[in-house]
Amino acid sequence: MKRKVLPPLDNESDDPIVITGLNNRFGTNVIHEDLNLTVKRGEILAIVGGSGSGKTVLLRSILGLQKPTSGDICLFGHKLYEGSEARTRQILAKTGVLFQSGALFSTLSVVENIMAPMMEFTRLSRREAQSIALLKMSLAGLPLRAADLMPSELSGGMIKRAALARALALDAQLLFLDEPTAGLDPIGAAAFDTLIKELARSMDLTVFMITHDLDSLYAICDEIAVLADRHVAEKGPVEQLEKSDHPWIHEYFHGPRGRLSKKEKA
Amino acid sequence: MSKAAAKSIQADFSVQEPEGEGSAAVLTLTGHWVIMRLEGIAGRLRAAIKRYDKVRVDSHKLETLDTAGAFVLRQVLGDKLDGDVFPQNESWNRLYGLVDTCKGDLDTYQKDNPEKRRFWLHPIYFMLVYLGQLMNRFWRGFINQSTFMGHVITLWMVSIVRPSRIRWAALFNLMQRAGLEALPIVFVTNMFVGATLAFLLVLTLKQFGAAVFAVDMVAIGVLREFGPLIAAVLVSGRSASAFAAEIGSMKMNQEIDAMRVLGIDPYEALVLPRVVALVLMMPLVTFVGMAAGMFGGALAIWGSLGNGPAFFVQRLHDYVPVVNMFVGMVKTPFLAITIAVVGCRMGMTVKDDVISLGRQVTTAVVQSIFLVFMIDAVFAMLFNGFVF
Repeated sequence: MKRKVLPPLDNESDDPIVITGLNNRFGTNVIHEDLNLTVKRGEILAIVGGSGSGKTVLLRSILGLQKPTSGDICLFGHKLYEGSEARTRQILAKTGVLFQSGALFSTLSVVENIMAPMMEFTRLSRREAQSIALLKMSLAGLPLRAADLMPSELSGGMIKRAALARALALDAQLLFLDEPTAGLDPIGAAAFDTLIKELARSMDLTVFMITHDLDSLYAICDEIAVLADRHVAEKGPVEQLEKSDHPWIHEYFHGPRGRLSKKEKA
Repeated sequence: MSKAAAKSIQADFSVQEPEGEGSAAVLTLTGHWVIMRLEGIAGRLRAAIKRYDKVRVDSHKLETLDTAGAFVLRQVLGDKLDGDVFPQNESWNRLYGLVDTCKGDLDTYQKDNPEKRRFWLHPIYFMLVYLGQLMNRFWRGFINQSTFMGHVITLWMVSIVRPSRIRWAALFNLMQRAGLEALPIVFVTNMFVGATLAFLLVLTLKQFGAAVFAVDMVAIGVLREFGPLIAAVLVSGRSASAFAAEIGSMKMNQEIDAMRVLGIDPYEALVLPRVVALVLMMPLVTFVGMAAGMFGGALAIWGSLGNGPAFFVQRLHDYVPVVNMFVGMVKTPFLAITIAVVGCRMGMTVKDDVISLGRQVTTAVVQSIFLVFMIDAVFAMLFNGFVF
């Protein structure tokens, strides 16, 4: 059975993510109000915000998992939630997602997990797909002897790396990371940060990450967007946000943990 | 999309003969060398450049490249590459370099894990292997079941000595869920079975002019066999699966480990209340089932013979001794223990993945229904000739 393959998208010039006037509410509970955000090509953007500030809802809206109440979300210049199903799927195939807990398919082995999007979207034969999947594992820093293990046999760090390899399976141009370093030890987290930065540079990736890890912010992020008061309170590089006088941002960078992180840096 | 248009976006290449002795063949890459368009290209490319020792890459017609494309190129070119790959394009060069760094790992993996050769084997061989595995599993299951049962019985003894350790709240909750809530379905099912049985018996016995004996036979059949058996099968389907799924998902969620660490014995907290609840409720469920079976039988006989409920009860009183009900009731605790123990044991053996949860729940239902029939058969043999 051969799948019909759509022509490639002609969007090299468009920004990967453009969000304008996004509103999200559940009943009377307003999550986002007039949220605007643009992510430029090749940028590593971190979203920070307190618990319940709507980071996850924002991510789910961008991924097409949750239709926003109103507002536009454009990925690569194409509006989500509009146009044909096939087109939406094609746009989403250009994105890769690393879910917080990995979300590997528990019935497939690691290498089969990475092959899954290839078998779904391309016409590669099983053998070709397998060798490319092994390449992706190697790129994600996963030892290849883990290829035939089941997800339940992996450690936390390996699950993250396997999920990253699956996110990169179709050479996504836009990578979403939901708390990539949560649950990793500091050394593993630093290695993962480096890996993401290296891959982003050499594969021209745009990275949209939700994180709580101050070390990640300093180490790899070009821009940081702070979600507070139901919209993007401030967006800019870390040096700019350190000087911000928004109370939450000030607390974030100058609170007990923030200072600690800075002292180590100095 | 026309075929010609599809062709132009496909990854493709052409090879030019080397111009003189010692110079390299020129490989011109065209189209999009991205993962979506790469099918089969590796084999074609490998065949095309097999004859040449040195290959130079001309990439000015190449539109896009991703890691998969670079990987295919790297795998096929190997050491044949002459000069730089992509002298003009920095990011493609970086991709090629990135893929290059992984090549060592991949080669080692492929050397260590050669593709398995598949043998053709006779189906009978497979059947024998399967049978052996099945027997092995059956035997291990029997041993595990006995161990588990022993553990539960020990705990039961302990809790009789120290009733304060029984979890009363859980026990009553389970008695409601596994016992009381099963009553409607058991009632309805048994009623239908009783009625069907009565119709069949009336139909057959009428030929001998002995249609009234249908009453005795329905009553004896329902009291001795059908009441307990159908109640037990229904409870297996409802409760064995529920127990396995509950305990299994608690195990996947590490709740069982948490209990152990907190010093709570999961067998005492989870398994014992389930077993005790079923043992207490099973006689009630069975009793309701027996009553429903006879009710259905009475209705059917009233309908087909025209003899009303008074006749049915009179005949029951005269010709069906109460010992039949005892024969039916005496096996209910055994059936209850079997169902609960199988359900809980399957829950406890769930591993960390979703598949094993599904498999264990299925096994719990299948095994408990199988054991219910087996135990019932054993009791039928024991009470053979128990008529008074």
